[in-house]
Amino acid sequence: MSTAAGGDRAADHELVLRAQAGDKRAFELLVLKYQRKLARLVGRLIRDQAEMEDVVQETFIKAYRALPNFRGDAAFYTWLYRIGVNTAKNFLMTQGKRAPTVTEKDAEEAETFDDADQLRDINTPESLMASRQVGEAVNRALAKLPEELRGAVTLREIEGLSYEEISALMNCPIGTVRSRIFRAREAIALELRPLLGTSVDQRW
Amino acid sequence: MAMSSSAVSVDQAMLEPSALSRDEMLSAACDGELTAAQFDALFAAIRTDLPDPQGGSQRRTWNTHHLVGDTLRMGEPPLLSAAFNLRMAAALEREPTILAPGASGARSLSSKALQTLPFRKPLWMGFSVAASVAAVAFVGYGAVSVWRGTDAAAPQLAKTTPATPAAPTTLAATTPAGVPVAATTASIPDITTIAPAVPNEYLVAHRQLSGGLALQGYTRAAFPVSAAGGAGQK
Repeated sequence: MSTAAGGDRAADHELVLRAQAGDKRAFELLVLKYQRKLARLVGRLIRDQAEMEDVVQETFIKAYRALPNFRGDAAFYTWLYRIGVNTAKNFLMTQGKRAPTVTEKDAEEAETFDDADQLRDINTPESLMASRQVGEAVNRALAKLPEELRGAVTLREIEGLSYEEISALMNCPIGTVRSRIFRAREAIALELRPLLGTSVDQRW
Repeated sequence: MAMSSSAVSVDQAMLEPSALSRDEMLSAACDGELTAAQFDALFAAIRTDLPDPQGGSQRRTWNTHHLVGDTLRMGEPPLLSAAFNLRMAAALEREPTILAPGASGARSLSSKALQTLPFRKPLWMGFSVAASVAAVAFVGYGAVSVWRGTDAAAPQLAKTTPATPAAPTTLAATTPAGVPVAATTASIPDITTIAPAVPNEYLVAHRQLSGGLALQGYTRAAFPVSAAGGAGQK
C-alpha cells in the first residue's frame, strides 16, 4: 500500500531530477511548495520578518547551488531543513546574535507541523493579520464543504493519508478520492482568492 | 454577498466533471499521486506556463493548493510578502543553470531503488575501479611479454647475430699500426664465440617492456660493450 510520505517524496524526487537536469521551473515548484514550511522554521530563529525572508531566500539559493550533490538519500525537505538551519545560524553569527538551540525534536516538528503556535513568533502585525485571515478563510470554506469532500481533504492534508488509504477508509474508488480532494481544494481556493489577490503570498 | 457568491462557486466547483482535468492532475501531483507519464504531461504544461497575476496559471494553482494544505496543518501559516516572491524569482533567475551528471534517465525508478543502484555511488569510485583494472592489465601485460620474450627473443637474436661480427673485424682492420693494439685486439675474443644469447635476450625483453625509442639507443650502445669490450670503440 502506498503511503502519503512515499508519494510526497516521489513527487519531490521527480522535481529534483528535473531541476538537476537544468530545469529551473522544477525548482520553482519546490520553492512554492516549501517556502512557508521553511519560513516557519527560520522564523523560530529569526524574529524579524524581513530578515527571515532574506534567510529563506538565501537558503533556497544555497539549496539550488548544492542540488547536484543531493542524491536523494534523505527527503528533500530534510536536506533543505539542514541548509536552512545552518544559513539562519550563520546569519545570526554575522549579526553577533546567539542562535537558539535547534534540537532533533524541532526537526520532527518542522516536518510534521505539530507545533502551530511557533509561527506566531514572526511578529509583524501585517503578516500576523494576513495569516489569521487565511486561516479563517480556510476554516470557513472547510465548514461549508459537503462531508465527503471535507473528509477526503482532511484525511489527506491533516492525517497525511495516501489516496489508496483514503479510498479504503471511505470505501470508494481512488479516482473518486482524487476528485473529492481536488474539488475541496478548489472550493477552499475560491474562498482564499480575495486574500491572495492583495499583498501576501502571491507570485508568478 | 461575498458569502453567497462563494457558495455558488463552491457548488460549481463540486459540479466539475469527473474527467481528469489539468487542474485535477495538478492537485494529484501535489500529493505525489500521478503516474510518471501523467507527471510528464503535466510538467510540460507547467514549463510553458507564463506568469499570470490575474490567476489561472498552473504555478499559481500549485502554490494555492500547497497553501491550503499548509493552512490546514498549521492553522495560520507564515506568509511571505509579495516582495519576497519577486526577489526569490529574480535571484533564482540570476543563478547559473545547474546540470548534475546522471540526473536524467533514472526518473522512472523509485527513490529506494535508486539508492541501491551502483550509479548512485560517487563518480570517483567508478574511476578508481577503472584505474585499478587498467593498472593490473598494464602490469600483467608486461609480465606476459617478459615471459613470452624468453622464447621469442632467441630467434630474433639468431637473425641479428651474423651482422654484429663485422664490428670487431672492422675495428681490428682500421686500428692504426704501431699502436699496441694488436695485443689488445688479440685479447678481444671473437663475438661469435663469446656472445651468449642471454644478455641479448635481456635487452630485447626490456625493449619490449619499455617500448621503442629509448631502447633503440640503449641497444645500440650496449652491443659494443658486451660484444667488443665497449669503451674501445669510442
